[in-house]
Order: sequence, then structure tokens, then C-alpha cells
Amino acid sequence: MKKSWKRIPFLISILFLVGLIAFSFLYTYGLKEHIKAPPTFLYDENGNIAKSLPFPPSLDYPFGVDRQGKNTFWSVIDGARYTILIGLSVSFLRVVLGIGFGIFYGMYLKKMRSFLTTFERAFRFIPAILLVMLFFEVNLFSDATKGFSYIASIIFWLTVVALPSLIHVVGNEVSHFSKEDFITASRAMGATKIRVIQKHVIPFLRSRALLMIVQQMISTLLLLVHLGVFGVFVGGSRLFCYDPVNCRKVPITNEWSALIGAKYQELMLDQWIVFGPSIAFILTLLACHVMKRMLEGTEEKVVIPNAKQTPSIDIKQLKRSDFIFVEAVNSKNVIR
Amino acid sequence: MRIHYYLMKKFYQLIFTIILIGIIVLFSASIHTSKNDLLHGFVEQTKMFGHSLIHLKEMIILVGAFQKETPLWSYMKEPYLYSFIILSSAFICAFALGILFSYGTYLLSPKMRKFVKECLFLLQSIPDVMFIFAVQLFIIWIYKKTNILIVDPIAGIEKVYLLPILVVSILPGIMLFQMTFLAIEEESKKTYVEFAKAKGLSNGWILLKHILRNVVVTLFSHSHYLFWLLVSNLLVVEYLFNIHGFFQLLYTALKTPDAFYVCLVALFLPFFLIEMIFNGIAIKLTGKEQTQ
Repeated sequence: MKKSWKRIPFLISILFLVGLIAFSFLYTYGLKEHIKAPPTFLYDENGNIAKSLPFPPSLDYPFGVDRQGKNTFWSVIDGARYTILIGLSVSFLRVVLGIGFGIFYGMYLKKMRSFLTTFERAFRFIPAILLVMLFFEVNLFSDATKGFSYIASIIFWLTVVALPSLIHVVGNEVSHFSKEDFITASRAMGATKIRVIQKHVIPFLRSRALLMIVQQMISTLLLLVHLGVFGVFVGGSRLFCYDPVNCRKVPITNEWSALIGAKYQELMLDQWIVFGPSIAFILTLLACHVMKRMLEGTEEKVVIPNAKQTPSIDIKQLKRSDFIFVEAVNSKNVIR
Repeated sequence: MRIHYYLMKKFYQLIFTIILIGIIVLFSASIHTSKNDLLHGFVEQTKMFGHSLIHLKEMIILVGAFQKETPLWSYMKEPYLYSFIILSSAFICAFALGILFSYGTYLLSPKMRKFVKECLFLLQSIPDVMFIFAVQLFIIWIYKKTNILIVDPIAGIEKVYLLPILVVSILPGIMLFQMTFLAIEEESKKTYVEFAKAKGLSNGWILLKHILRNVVVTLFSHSHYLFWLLVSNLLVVEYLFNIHGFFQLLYTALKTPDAFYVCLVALFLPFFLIEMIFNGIAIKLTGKEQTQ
């Protein structure tokens, strides 16, 4: 059997993600200048105005054009790198920190188990999105509401929110694993705890790490959609004022969840504006789910029985005369 | 004696968890007010917290666009009941959906089974937000075509039940279906099933009488994931459908930490109770403590 990360669906989905990021960078730093902005009006063949902004999806504009005259397709491509990279870095940080603290928790803190379980429960019962909303406004590194430091602080909060439960899971796994026979044996031969961690625990967890990253990626992406709906724009935001009284937050990057969240009002008017980023999101999630499935190896084969059974009608048609009955007396003779 | 011990343990856990939720909320409040002087801010916030918790009856919450000050205690009851009616019926709905569908799928031929599984795999990767969009658009589409408004997709003041219950229970239902089906497939490899088959019992009968009983135990012990999913779904559903439920209240209470804390504890208590009961049932049925 092939290793899971060599199978074709896995490769396709990872290529999809990497390609999306690469394309996104390529667009922003190269292609952007060469692509014409969509016109304000569409004309029919007689030169009359056929349609004004926003335009529905067409061959020229696959996801349509929004009210500000931006081509939604290119917005989605531009935003891809924010969403995917934020998701990846959050899940990577979560898994690395989770494994690090989890080993410590599983190997050393056995006495404090019940206390830490309670801690984990407190975190679990507050929905993750509420936890993020409690903290996201605080920028740890500076006071800006945009730019790199803002994104870094959001990544930090997104990581912290899921850490307790992840540490708990990894820690439990480690403490179960450290009760295995071969570890008892190596402890009996004089291996220190650090040696056991180096030689047994880390290799055991390393095989699971990729799966954990993909799982965390899925949960992070879902969290991002929810945050976008609630008006928390991960890529940074600024206040936009129509007049001195009415102000509202608008996103400054084309990050997908922000695209969905900011355009939600458009759903009842021009649905396609929300469709573009939604489709991108669903495809990304699908890619993650495919990878998760490949890594889990649960793609079990349903065995379809090949052996031909005699149809029951044929059985009913059989008559007693079809069989040759061996005389019971004869067989007794043979045994004698 | 054993039940007594179990209850005591759970009680201590409850007290600890409530205190810890308080500390988390306090921490967030103090990091908002004084980022640089965390310790001082924490002490200040703790004092304020203690004060407002003693005067629980007079706690206020800022409601609506005009930040109207309303007493929390009388305001909280109605949305609390409403949201919990939705949650519990969504839970039952998801449970029923999951078990019914997996029962139906088990009776299908292996090829069809695989097809259903693939479909659900695709459905599963659609986030709930997009489900909500789709449902809203669908209802409006029907309204445009036939002039019949099945249900009001954007609730006003009156309470709607059917739509939120359905939307909330779709994704957990799918998750539950997958869990159940996996458990059923595991279970059906066991020898007692083979024996029952050899005796000539039909597939459906075996499933109903033998396998499902064993599967339900697994489901009960995993039920807290389901609750968690339901809660986070309902949060978004209430916001997008403009339902004035408890989670909308939670969202508005974010600005006032003390009220937010009370709401969180109120949310936590019934869940803890339910989890305790389910865990108790699972222990009673299997005779061993489930590790979470």
C-alpha cells in the first residue's frame, strides 16, 4: 500500500492550496498592473448602456463585479494568501505548541491532571468564537488595527484559544502511550524520561502531526468564516464614515471571510457577490477534508462479494430426483 | 456509595470550572483596559466583578443600537428559555436524523452505501454559514416564484422555531450520521452479529435489536462534541436570522464583562448537567469510565 501522502487525491489537494497561494502572490506583485479594471457600464451592440455596476457573472468576469467596480474573481485570488496562510500558520503553531506542552503535560504533570482537566473544560464550554471575540481587539504588539502586527496578534489569539483542549488531547495520548510495554522495558533498563521522549514519544507523535495540522486547519477556517460574519476582519480593518455619525468597520484586505462578512447585505440583492468567496472557501475546505481522509486512512474499501450465489428461484425448482442418495446401509458397511 | 463519590467529584469540578471561566473573562477585561499594567488592572477588575456579583439583581446590560440600559436578570429569562427550546429540539432532531439515516443506509446495497457516504463527505465540507445563505436564498426564491412565504427567513420580534431548528441540526446531524455509521460498521464485524446472521435473522432486525443498542453507548459518550457544534451553530444562526435568543444576548453582552460572565455561567450549567448525566449513563451501561 502506498503511503498516504503519496496518493493522488492528497497531492492534488496540496497542489491546489500551494497553487492558490502562489497565484495570489503572482497576481499582487506582477499581474495586477496588466489587468484592466472592469468598465463602469456594459454596452450592447448598438452602443446603448445595457447594465451598470454590479455585473452578474459572465465569461469575462467569472464571479461577477461588485458595487465598487472590483472584479470579484481577482479579489478572491488576492485574498487567498491571507486566508490560507493565516489558517496554515495558526494550525502549525497550534500543533507545535500543543505537542510541546502536551508531552510535558503527559509525562510530568500527572498529579495536576484533575486541575488541568477543569481548566480545559472551562475553555471548551465557552464557544471558541466568543473567546476570540473577547480578545481579538487587543493588539499585543502595537496599537495599530491593520498591518503585520495586527495579523500576528490575531494569529496569536486564534492559536491560544484552541491550545488547552489540544494540549489535553495530546497529553492524554502521551500518558496512554507511555504505559506501553516497550516503554516500561526501556525505563527498566535505565532510560531517563527525556530519553524516552526523544526515542519513543516524539517519533510516535510525528506520524500524527500532519493529520493534526490538517484537522486544526479545518477548524481554523470554520472559525474564520464565523468571525467574518460577526464583523471581525482578520486582515485588518479601518473605520469608514458616510457622514460624521454613521461609521462602520470596513476590511482593508481581500481576505475571504472579510469578503463574505462585509458583503453579507448583498445576499438579498446580488447573490453572486457572496458566491465567489464562498466557493473558494468550500473548495479549500474540501481540499483539507480530502487530505484529512487520506491521512486517516479510513478510505476503507467496500468489499462487493464476487462469488455467484444460486438464485433462490433455482433452488425452489430443484426436485428430489435431482439428487442421488447414497444408501445409509452402504456407508455403515464402509465404516466397518 | 459510588454514586455519592461520583456526585461529589462532579460538584468540585463544577465549582472549579465556574471560577476558571470567571478568571478567563476577568483576564480579557483587564487586558482591554490596561494592557501594560496587567496585574493592577486585574485586581481592579476583580474588585468590580465582586461588587457586581454581590448585587446580582441590579446588574445591567446595554441593549440595542441606542445602548439602552436594561436590567439583566429580568431580560435574560425569555431568550434563555427560547434558545434552549431550539437547542434541545435541534439535538433531538439531529439524533433522530443521524440514527434514521444510518439505519436506512445500512440496509442499502454496498455500492449505494458508498455513494451516500461520498455525498455526505462533500456536504460536510460546506461551512454552516453557507448553508444558512443557501436556505435564505431558497426561501426567497420560492417566494419570488410562487408568492408563498413558507417561513420568514429574517425573524422580527415574533418567535420562529421551525427554520432555526432545521438549520442548526443539519450539520450536527451529518456528523452524527457519520459517527453512527462508523460505529455500526465496527460493530457489525463482531462475532455475535455473524452468529445472528447464521441463525437466519434479517439485517434490519439485527441492526435494530442488537447493533443499535451497543452503538448508542458510543454516541452518548461522544455527545459533548455534538453539543459544542450545536452551540456554535446556533450562535451564527441567531445572528444571521436576527433571532433574539440567548446567543444574541451573549453577543451584545460582550461589552459588559460582568453580565457576560453571568450569561456564560448560565449557558454552562445545563450543559454540565447534561454531560454529567450522559457520562453517568455511559458508565452504568459499560461499567467503565469513559476517558474524554
